[in-house]
Amino acid sequence: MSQRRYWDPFDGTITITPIETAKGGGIRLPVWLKRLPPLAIVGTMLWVLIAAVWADSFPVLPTICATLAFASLFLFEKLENTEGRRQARYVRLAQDNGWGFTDKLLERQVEFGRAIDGDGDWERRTRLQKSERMLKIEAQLPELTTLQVGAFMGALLDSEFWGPLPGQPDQPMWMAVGTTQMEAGMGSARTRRDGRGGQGGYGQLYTVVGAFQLGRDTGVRAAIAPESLFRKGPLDRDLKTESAEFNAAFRIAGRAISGGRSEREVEQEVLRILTPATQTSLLDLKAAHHKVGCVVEAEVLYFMVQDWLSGDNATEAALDRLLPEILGQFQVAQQSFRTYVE
Amino acid sequence: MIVTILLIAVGIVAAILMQNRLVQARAAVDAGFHGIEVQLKRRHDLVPSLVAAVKGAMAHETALIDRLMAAREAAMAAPPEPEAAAEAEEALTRSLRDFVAYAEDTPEVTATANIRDFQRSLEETEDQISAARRLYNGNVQRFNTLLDAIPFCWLARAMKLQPARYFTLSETEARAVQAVPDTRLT
Repeated sequence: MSQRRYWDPFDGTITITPIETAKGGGIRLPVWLKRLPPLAIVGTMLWVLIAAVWADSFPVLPTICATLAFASLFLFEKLENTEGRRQARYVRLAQDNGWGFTDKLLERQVEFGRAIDGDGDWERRTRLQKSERMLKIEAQLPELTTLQVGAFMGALLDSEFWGPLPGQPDQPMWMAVGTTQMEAGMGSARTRRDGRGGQGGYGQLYTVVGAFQLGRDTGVRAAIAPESLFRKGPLDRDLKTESAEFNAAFRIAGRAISGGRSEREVEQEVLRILTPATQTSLLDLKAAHHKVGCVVEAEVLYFMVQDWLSGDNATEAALDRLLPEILGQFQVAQQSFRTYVE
Repeated sequence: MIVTILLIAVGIVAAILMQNRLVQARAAVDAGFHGIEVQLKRRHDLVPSLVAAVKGAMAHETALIDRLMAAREAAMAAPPEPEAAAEAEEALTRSLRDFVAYAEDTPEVTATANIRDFQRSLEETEDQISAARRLYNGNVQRFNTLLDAIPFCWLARAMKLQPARYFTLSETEARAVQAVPDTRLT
């Protein structure tokens, strides 16, 4: 494995050792079986709580069942080789597109700490912490990656790609992807359906965050993030465009990157970036995906898409097809941004 | 007595909130129309540069230039209302299409002027106009839906608010998109 150097929106350039081989394999478990552990966990946890309130003694049986439910979740993941299969798929995707891929930089780190136990004694405990890379991404793009109450649950990212944009070999891009199993059996009808006709409680939640270069320094940072449920009426005080639909869908904010620009000038610049064509392309993306957002920072366009696939659609192959599709949709949106900056 | 006063107070607050919402929706319609006007003005401003760039090579074909400039004047003078603006802009769209089609087919013109750059600017402006029209029509739909919904319709009637008009592609313009450009020089 050799090291390669790529354009990176956070570090300027980055040298990574791309993963070029991965062990796929694993047992393909039926969906109904994979749905059992999350439901069992919820059920047994409730049992533990109820038993703890009603019984005088420690709820031994419910606790054992809850432990077994958690153990079955991890066991199924190991049997399916979820991580290995994902790596193998992403290696193929990266090779097909001439990208570099690694999941090492976003891997959660084990941290050792101290905590007081029930008897008041100090004990050594481990916990999983976000990687430095993830913290850097979150610090630069909080609107698109961290929890925004009432608007966005935050991004769960596990893999990164660097390389040229499809069909534009001179245009570098960065993309981070995260997928996780989703159980919406007890959720609302909305969460049990995806936007592509899939239906069912089992699903795959995915988040894609990416970045392209725009080709000119805009001098501002414009954030177009999902609008919060709580920002209504007098509380809805962000920048406004001429479109009521766009204002209802997105929260717009802007600030100057370097000094010397008044608030009014920054506002005008942000609204200039949001041309009618840009707004309509973002509205089209919003119609196609659950959550969409983007940030223009100086000469870089960052984007985020979060959505899920339900029922029969929630397959690995469908997810792999989606990634280039999402990239293509943002390439179209990028054109409207580029038109403005050119 | 207190209940009556409370009910009246709640009614007044509700009426104020509804009126504000209607006013906001009406303002959004106006803002959407201004958004279209900005893009239309951009297209109006492109025409003189286009004419100036090709005038030397098209010195003998003044009919096309005159037709284009007249259409531009009419579009600029059109009253700021959706129907009138749409009609005048249609005429300008047709003239521009004819003009560009002629310029593209005439080697002297393509050799002296960078028609492709103008064409790209025009296409980009047309895209922006079309997007601005979509955003405006979205605002109109929201406003008109409010006017039809209870209890907003009662207040709207009292405020004498009229439904806003959509800025639509007329049948003639839709046909013009498909039509063969008219490059007659007389």
